[in-house]
Amino acid sequence: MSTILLPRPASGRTRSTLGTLARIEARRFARHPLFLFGAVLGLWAATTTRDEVSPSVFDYPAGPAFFVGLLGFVVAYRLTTSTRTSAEAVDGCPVATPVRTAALALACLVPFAAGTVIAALEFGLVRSAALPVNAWGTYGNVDSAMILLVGPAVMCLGGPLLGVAAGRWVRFPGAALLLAALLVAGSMLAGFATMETALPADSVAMRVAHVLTPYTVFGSTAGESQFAPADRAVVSYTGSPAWYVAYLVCLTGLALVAALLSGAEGGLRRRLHRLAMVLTLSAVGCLAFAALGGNQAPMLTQHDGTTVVRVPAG
Amino acid sequence: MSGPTVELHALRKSFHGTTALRGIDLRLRPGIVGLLGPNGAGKTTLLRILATVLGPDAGSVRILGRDPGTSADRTEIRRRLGYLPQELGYPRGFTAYAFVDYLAVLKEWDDAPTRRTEVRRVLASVGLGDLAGKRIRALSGGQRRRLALAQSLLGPPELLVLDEPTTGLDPEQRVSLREVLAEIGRTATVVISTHQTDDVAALCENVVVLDEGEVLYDGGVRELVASAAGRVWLAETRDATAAASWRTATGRYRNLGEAAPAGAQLVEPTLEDAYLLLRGASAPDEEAAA
Repeated sequence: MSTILLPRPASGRTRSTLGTLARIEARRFARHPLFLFGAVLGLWAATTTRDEVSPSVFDYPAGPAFFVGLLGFVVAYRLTTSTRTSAEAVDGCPVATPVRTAALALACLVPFAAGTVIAALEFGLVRSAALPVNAWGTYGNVDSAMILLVGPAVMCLGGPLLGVAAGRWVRFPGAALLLAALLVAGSMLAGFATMETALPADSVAMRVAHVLTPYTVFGSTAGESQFAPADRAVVSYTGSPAWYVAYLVCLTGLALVAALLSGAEGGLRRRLHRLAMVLTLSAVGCLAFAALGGNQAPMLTQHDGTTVVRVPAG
Repeated sequence: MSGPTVELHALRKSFHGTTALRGIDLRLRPGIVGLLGPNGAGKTTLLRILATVLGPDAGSVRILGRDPGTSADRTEIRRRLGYLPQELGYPRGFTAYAFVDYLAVLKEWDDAPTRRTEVRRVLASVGLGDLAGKRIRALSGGQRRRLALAQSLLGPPELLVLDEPTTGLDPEQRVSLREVLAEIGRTATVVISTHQTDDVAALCENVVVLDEGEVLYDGGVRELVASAAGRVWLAETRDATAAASWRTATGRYRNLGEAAPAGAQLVEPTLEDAYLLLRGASAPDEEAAA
C-alpha cells in the first residue's frame, strides 16, 4: 500500500475547477456517439446538393438545427443525468451543483462550434451557387445571414443548453426523447399553422405563432404548398429574422439560467432570479418585434423577381 | 488527545412520518469507530448526515469544527471528507480511472499531474491499479465496490464515512482494506457502518450500537466484549432461555445468556456475542415500551 501523501488541494479554486471540469465534459460531449452521428449527418446534408429534392434555400437551416441542435439536446440531457446514479458521492464533494452545471454549459460550446461550422459551410455554398433571382424571396443580406448562419448556430447552442436544464429539473425515464419529440412537434405545429391553414396569415396571432417556437421556417417554394400560384416561385413568410434570432438568444439565456438555478443557494439564486426576469422581459420584447417586424404578410416572389402579397388560392 | 471531529447533540431525523433518528448524542474523535445495528436502526441516515448530503430535522451537528448547515462551512467540510455511500451507481462509459479522476476534480484536485498521482494512489490502495483502464461495466461486483471505496480515500480525508465498505469483498480484500483503513485511522476519524462484527473487532477501538434510531451503546470495543464475559456457553443442546443460540460447526450449541445450560462450557465472548446480548437485553424494554 502506498502511503505517499500529496498536498491537499487549496480551497477556493472554483474557477480553476470549472475549467478542468468543463474540459472533461467537453471531451465527453465531443465523443458521444449521438453527437458524432448528428455532426456527420449535418455535414453530409450541408455539402450534398439538394436542388432536385428541395429547391428552397430556406430548408438549409434544418440540417444543423436538427442534427446538431436537437440531437445535442438529447446528448446534453444524458450527460447531465449520467452522474445521477453516483449522486450520493458527487453531492458529498465540495464542488457545488451550479459549478458542475456551468461546466456542462461550457461543454455545449462543442455542438455550438460544430453547428456554426456546418451552418457557415452551408451558407458559403449557397451564397456561391448560381441561384435564381428570386431564391432569397424578400430577404436581404442581413436577413439571409440570420436565417442560414446565425440562427442555426444559436439553435446548436440553445438546444444543448435546454438539454442541460431539462437534465437538472426533469427526472423520469425517457424524458429526453419525449422532450425532443415535443420540441419537434411544437415547431412543426407552428410551421403548419403558418403555412397550411386558411386562417389569415397576416393576423397578429398567426404572426406570433410563426416565430414563437425555437425553430421556424422563413420561406419556402410556393409550388410545394396548397397555394401553388406559380412554379418555383418563393414565399417569404411574416416576421423579422433578425429579431427572431435575438429572441432565440434570450431563450438560450433562459435555458442556461434555468439549468444554473438547480442547487443554487443564497445570493447566486437571487442573482439568477433577477437575470431570468430580465431575460424573460427581453424575450417577450424580441418576440413582439420578431412577429410584428419584417414582412407583414406572406410575400410571393416570382421567378422574374417581382414580389406581390401572396393570396391563398381557391 | 485531540478534540472531537464530530459532535452531535439531540439529533433527530424523520422521513414521511417514520422517525429514523431519535435524539442522538455522539462525540467522535480521531480513530476508527464501528457503527453496528440491525437493518432500519438509522445507521445510513446517520452516515448521510455526517457526509453532509442530508440535513437533520432538529439538533445540532458540528463536523471538523464547522456547522454543515451553512453553505461555506459545508463546502469546507466536504473538502476534508471522504464518503462511501451504501449504494453507488456509475456513469455509463467511464473507466475505473476516469470515474475516480472525475470525482477528484469535484474534490478540487485541479492540478493534472498531482491529481493523476493521487488517483493512481487510491486505485492502487484498493488493489485496482492494474484495472484502471478497464470500463466499469466490465468490473465484477467486488471490484466495483473497491472502486467506490477508492473515491472515498481521495485526499486522504480527515473524516472518512464508510457505509458497509466490506460488502462484496473476498477475505483477502477485506484484510487488505483493514490495512488501508488502519493507516488512515492513525490520524483521521473513520466511521464504518457494517454488519460484519469481525471487521469492527479487528479494526475499531470504539463502537456505537444503534437501535431504532437511538444509541444503545457508545464506548470501547473491548469494554463491550468484556460485558459479555461469563454469559457465553458452549453446550450439547440449545438453551431455550438464551438470548441467542445457534449450532456451530463442531455440532455444539453456542448459547448466550445468564444461566449455564447443563454441562455447558464457559467460553470467551466475541464482539458478535456481546452485540447480540446487548440487543437481546434491549428487547424486553422495546416490548415494554410497545
